[in-house]
Amino acid sequence: MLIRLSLANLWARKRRLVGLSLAVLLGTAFLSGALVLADTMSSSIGGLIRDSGAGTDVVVRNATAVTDRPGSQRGGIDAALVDRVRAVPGVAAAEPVIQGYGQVVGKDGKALTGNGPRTAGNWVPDPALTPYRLATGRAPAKSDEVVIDRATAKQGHLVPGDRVTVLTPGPVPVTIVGVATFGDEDAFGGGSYTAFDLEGARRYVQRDPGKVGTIAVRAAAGTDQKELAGRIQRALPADTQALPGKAATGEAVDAVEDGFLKVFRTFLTVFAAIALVVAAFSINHTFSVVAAQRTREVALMRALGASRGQVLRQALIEALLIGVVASAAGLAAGLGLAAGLKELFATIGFTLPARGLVFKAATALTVLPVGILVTAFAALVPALRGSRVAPVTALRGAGAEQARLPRRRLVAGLALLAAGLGMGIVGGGMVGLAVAAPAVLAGVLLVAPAGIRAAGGPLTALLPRLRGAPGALARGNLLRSPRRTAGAATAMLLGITIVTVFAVFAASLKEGSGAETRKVVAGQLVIGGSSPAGWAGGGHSPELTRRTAQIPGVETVSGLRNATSLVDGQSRQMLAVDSARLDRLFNLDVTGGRVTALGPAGMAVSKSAAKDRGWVLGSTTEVTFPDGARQRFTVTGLYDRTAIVGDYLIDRTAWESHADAALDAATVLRLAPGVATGTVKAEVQRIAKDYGAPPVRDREGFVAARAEMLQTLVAVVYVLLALALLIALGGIANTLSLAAHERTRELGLLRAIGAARAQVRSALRWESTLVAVIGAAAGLVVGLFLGWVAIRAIGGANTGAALPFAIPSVQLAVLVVVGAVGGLVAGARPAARAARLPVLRSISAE
Amino acid sequence: MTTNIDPTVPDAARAVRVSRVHGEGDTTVRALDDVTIGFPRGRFTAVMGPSGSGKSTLLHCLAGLDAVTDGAVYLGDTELGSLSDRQLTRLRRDRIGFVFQAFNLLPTMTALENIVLPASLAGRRSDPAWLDRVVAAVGLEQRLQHRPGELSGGQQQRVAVARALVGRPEIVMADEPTGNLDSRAGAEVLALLRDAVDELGQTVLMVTHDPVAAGYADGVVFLADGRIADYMEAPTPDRVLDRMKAFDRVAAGAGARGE
Repeated sequence: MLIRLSLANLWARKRRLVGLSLAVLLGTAFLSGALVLADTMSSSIGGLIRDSGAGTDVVVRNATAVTDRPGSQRGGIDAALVDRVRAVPGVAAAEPVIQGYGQVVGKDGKALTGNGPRTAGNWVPDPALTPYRLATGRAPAKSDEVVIDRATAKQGHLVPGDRVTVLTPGPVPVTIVGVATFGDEDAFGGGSYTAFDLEGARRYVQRDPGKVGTIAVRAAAGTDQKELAGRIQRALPADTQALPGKAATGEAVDAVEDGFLKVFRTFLTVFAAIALVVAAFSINHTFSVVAAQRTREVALMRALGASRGQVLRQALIEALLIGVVASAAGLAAGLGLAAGLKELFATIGFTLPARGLVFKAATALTVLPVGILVTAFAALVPALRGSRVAPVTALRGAGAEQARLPRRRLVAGLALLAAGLGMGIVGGGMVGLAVAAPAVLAGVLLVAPAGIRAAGGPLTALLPRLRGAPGALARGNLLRSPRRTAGAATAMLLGITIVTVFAVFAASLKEGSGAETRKVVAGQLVIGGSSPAGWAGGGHSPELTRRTAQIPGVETVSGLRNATSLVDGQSRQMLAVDSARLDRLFNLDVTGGRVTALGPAGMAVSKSAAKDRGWVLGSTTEVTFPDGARQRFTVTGLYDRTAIVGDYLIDRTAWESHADAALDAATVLRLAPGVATGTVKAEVQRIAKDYGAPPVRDREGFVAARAEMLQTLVAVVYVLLALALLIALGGIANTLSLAAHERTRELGLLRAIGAARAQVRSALRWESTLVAVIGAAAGLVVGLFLGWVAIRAIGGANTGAALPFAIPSVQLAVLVVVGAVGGLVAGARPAARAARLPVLRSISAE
Repeated sequence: MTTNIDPTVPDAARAVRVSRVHGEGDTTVRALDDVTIGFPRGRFTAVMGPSGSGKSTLLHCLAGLDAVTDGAVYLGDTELGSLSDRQLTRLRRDRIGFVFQAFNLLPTMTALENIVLPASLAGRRSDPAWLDRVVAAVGLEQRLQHRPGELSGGQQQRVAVARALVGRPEIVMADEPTGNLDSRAGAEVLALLRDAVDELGQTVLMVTHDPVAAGYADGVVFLADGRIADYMEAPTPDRVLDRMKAFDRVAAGAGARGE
C-alpha cells in the first residue's frame, strides 16, 4: 500500500520529482564520470602497452632495475648476445632493440615538445617485434635516415624528404624517410618516437657500439614462451635476464597502474568525493524544501489515521525510489561527463591517452549503492522532521515552516565555531586542522540561519533602493525563511570553501617554491630545467653545457643530470653534477663537511635524508647503477636546502661511465663578478640554437618558469573543483524553481496587480544571486581561515621550510564573481519559467 | 440581453458582445455567451449568479486577466484585445485596483509595503497625502509595519482594499472580497468599498454570491449560464435573495426535466 502511495505521490508531483532527481543525478554523474575516465585510461594505456609487446615472445634485458617508474630505461646489454640468442633452438627471430632519448627539432629550430617521453631507437624490421607500422615512406637504410611517428610529423608539418635535427641529445642532422603509426594510433600516448637504422641508433642513441638496449625474440611456431625464456636464460650471463613477453608487458602495465594511474585514480576519486559531499548537501536541502511543502499533506494523512512510522516509511520509500532512478541516470550521465572531461583536460594541455570509453560493472556497483545511500541519508532528517508534523496542522492552514530558530542550535553552533577557531589558531598542526575544519564548517552551518536573520537585513537594505520593487521582493524572500536560505547556500559555501583552501594552498606552494628556488640557485643563468615533464623527461646535450663553460665571463658551470640509482638497494633519485665549484652555483646551506669536489666516490646528502638513514659524515653506502655496477660512496657533506637539487648529489665523473643517456636536465651558470648577465645570456642563447633552443633564463625567469610548471596541475584541479561549484549552482537553481513553484499564487498575484514579467524575473534572479553570494562570501572566509591553518600545519610538519601564507586575491575575486554570476545564471531558468506563468491560473492555484 | 445601466454616465468598463469559450470539441464550455454590458463611473455594481454562471470570468475578462473568445472589452476608451501582455500589465498596474477573495498580500512584505507595491512596481512614489487618507479610511494606521501573518483576515482584506484604492484607479475590481471573512469583518470591508464610491468617487465592480454583500451596491447584474439574466437597481439583501431563489427554482426545474 505504502509503495503504491509513494509512487502515486511521486507521479502527482512531477516538478518535485524532477527537482529531487536532478540533485541526486548531479552528484552521482561526477562519481560515475571519474570512475569511467580512470578505467578508460587504465584500459587504453594497458592496451597500448600490450599492443607494443604483442608479437614479442621473450625479452632479453639487463637484470638491474634502478626504478620501476614507467618509461625509464635499464642499462644496456652486450651486443654480442644477439647472435647467442639467435642460436638458441626455438628462436625464430631475435632483433636488437635500442631505445633512448630523441627529440625532434622542428623546421623553426624549436624542439617539438609534448606531453610524454621523447624517444629514439632503431627501426625493427620484423613487424612481429615492433608495434610501429610504416604509414608513408620507407624504413631507414642509412644512419642519417629516420622514421618518425605520425603525431610528431603532424605537429611539425614534416613529410618524408624533410631534413631536420634530432637531439639525442647531441644534435644529429637527419633526413626523414618515413612516417609510422603506433598500431593504428598516431603515437604512443603523448610521446614521440624517432627510428634510426640499427647503425644510426647504435651510434647516436646507444653511443656504445658494444651494447644494445634489449633483445626482442620471436619464438618458432609451437614453442612455449616460458620454456623458450628459460632456454635463452641458460645461454645468458648472470647480469642479463630473459623474460617471457607476457610477463614483460604485465610488468609494464602494473608499473603504470601502480604509478601514474593510481595517483590519477586517487585524484579523481577525491574530487568525486568532494562533489558527492556538495551534492549530498544539495540533495538534503532539496528534500527539506519538499518536506516543508508537504507539511499539510502529511498532516492530513496523520489526521486521517496514518501513524508516524507510516509517514516516515513513505517518505523514505520515495527517497529510495528517487535514489535508484536518479543514480542510474547519473551513472549514464557519467559516461558523457567522462568524455567531456577528457576533452576539457586536453584543451588545457593535459592530454590523456584514452581511446573509447570503458564502462565496467564495478562502476555501477560503486555508483548505484553510493548514490542510493547518500540519497537515503540526505532524506532521513527531513523525513524524520516531516513525520513529526502534528495532525492539527492540516486544519490550521498556514505554517509550512517554523519561522523561529531554535536557540539550542545557535548555541551549539557558536560553541563548535569557537572550538574550531580556537583549535585552528592555537592548536595548529595536522591535528589542529583535522579538528578545526569540520568544527568550523559545522559551526558555520548551524549559525548560518541566525546569521542571515541578523545580518541579512542590514546587508541587503540598499537593494530595494537600488533595484526597486524586484529588489525588495528578492530581499523579502531571502529573509522570509533564514533556515531555507542558509540551506540553499550551503552547497555553495562548501564548494567555495574547498576551492579557496586549494587556491590558497596552490598560491602558497608557488610562492614557497619560488622563494626556495631563489634561495638555492646562486648562479645567474639557467638553461632548461622547466619542461612540464620535469627532470625525468626533457633535457639538453651536455655538449651545450661544455660549450657555455667556454664563454668569456662565465666563471663556472654545472649540468644537472638525473642519476636515479639504487642506494642501499632502494630506488632513489640522485643528481650527478660538476661538483668542483658547486658552492658557487648553489646555496645549499651546508651543515657539515663539504659539497664541492665530491670526486669519484664522494656523496653529498641532505640533512633530512641522512637523518632518516642514520648517516653521519664519513658513513658509507653502496650504490647500484642502472648498468648493474655497484660502488661504495662516502658521505662527505651534509646540506639543508633540497629545492632543485634533491637529497643525493654525486659527481658527474662517478656517474658517466654507468649511464647510457648523457642528458643534462638543466645547466646552471655562474658569471664572473662584474659581467653583464644579458650579454652572456644572449651568447648562451646563440649556442643553444644548435641544440633545439632549450630555454635560457636568468634566475627570476627560472623561478617564474618553475612556478608555471605547477600551473597545468592547478588548472586541472580548478576544472574538477569547478564541477563541484556547478553542482552547488545546480542545487540553487533547483531549490529556486521549487520555491517558485511553491509561490505560484504569490507570483500570480504580483502579475495581477501589475508586475511586469521582467520584474518577476528580476526578483527571482536577484534572489538566486544573493543566495550564491552569501554562500560564496561565507565560503571565502571559511576557506581563507582553513587554508591558513593548513599552510601552517604543513609548514610545521616540514622541518625548517615553513610555507608562506599567500592569498591569491585575483583568483579569489574571480571566484566570488563567478559564484555571483553563477547564481544569476542558475536563477535564469526558474525565473524565466515563473515569469511565463499564466496569471489567471496562478492566482487560482492551490 | 443587452444592459445599459445608466446611459447618462460614461462607462468605466464595458463588455461588447463578449463570449468566452473554454475547452475544445465535446468539452466546450461557454462561460460567457454574447454578453454586452457597461459599468458607469462612480457607481458600485455587484455581479451575482449561481456557481458556473460566468461572473468571475466576466470580471477576469474586464480586468485583462483572461482573453475573450469573441467580442471586445473596454476600459475607458481602451480596447483590451489589441493590447500586448506588457501593455495589459501596465494597465492593471496603473488603471485597475484588485481585491481578491484570499491570498491578496505578499507574505514577505509589511502592510505598508503591500499597499504601495503597485506604485513601487511602476517605480513611482505614492502621493503621501492621499496615502494617509486611504490608510486612515481603512483604519490601519497602527498596523502598517505588520506583516500579513500578523494580521487578522479582515485586516488583511482592508490592506488589500487600501492597495486597490491608493493608486486612484479607474475601477476597483473585487472578486468575492468577503468570501473568507466572518460577517462583521465582511461588513467592514463592504462599508469601505461603499465609502470609496460615495466619498472618493471611485468606481467599484464586485463579484459576489452573498446577497448581503450585494446589498451594499448601487445595482446588481445577475448572470446565468453565461448570459445576463437580470438587472436590479437599489438592491436590498431580501430582494436579491428572492431573485436568486428564482434562479435556483429554474435550475432545479431544469434538473428535474433531466436536462
